Amino acid sequence: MPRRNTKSMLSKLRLLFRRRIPDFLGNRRAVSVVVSTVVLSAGVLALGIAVLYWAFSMGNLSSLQYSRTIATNSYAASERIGFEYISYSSAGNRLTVNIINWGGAHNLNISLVHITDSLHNYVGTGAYTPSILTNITTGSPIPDNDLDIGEEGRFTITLSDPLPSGYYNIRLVTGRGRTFDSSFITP
Amino acid sequence: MTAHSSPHRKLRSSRKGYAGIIAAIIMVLIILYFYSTVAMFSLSRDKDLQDITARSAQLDIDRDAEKVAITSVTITQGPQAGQLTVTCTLENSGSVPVQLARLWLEDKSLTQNNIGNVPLTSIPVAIQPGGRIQQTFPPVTIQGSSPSDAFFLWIITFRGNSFLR
Repeated sequence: MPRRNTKSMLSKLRLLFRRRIPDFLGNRRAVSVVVSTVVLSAGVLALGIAVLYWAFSMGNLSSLQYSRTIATNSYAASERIGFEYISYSSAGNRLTVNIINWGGAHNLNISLVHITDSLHNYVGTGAYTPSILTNITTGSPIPDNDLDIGEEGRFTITLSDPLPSGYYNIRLVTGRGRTFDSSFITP
Repeated sequence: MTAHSSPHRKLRSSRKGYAGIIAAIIMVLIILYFYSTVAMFSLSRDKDLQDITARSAQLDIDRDAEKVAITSVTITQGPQAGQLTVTCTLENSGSVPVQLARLWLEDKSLTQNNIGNVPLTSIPVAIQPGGRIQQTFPPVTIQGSSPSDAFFLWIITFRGNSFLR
């Protein structure tokens, strides 16, 4: 009797599965919802990860740029130049400038030189590109064309026209954008 | 009484708006966290800049406090032709120690190529505040120059100052 009962239960279950599973598999009404949910979740996840990486890289980039700007400003703030001797030679219209870096920043270089007369009118083109920095004592070029702290150097500029006798102002512009002024007299 | 308490109880038992409030709180916390991180980073950088500015200001103060008087100068013939030996008495009347970087000499009797100089890095010349030293510098080369000529002399310090005689 129990064996018969078991057999009937199993047959009932088989019948149930035979009827329900194909019905369940054949029913396409819920599939679209599942698929759309999966696609939506994947999309949101992918977008989220992409935004996260973008924000991270942008953050890193802006942090790096900010650090560089602050570092450049800091170095520029501690740049100082002392003028040792300025001489003008009418032969070749050459102006020779001897300077010392007495500030707190290494790698000081001169990017531009402005010459103005006593009335602050530009002389010639106004802005001149200096020659490479040389050692004051030996005349040999200074490596990297810059001055470290306490280092002295000399550079020349060739003016477009001869300088008449008089008083002139000179302004040096460093690579970091600082300016340093002095003056000289031509005989 | 029951009419009054019923909506209140409903409101308290309703859980519909909780998710929005929690999400808003989390959002605000995240924004605050990012903002504070950026602010702290910016503040630390600004402090670095302030330190640099303060140090630079101190450099200027020290430079202004530097005062050296060249009280006497003796120029003699150097070991070779065209070389001059300069002996100076230097007095530091400023409030900071002074180290000399270079000596410049101009021969006023010559019309051209009349400038000579000598670096003072190999033989450091330093003067304490209130100190007075007599220093013989390494020979300065000016071709065609003689010790009996008229000279103009100046020294450059490592703070960029120049002191004349």
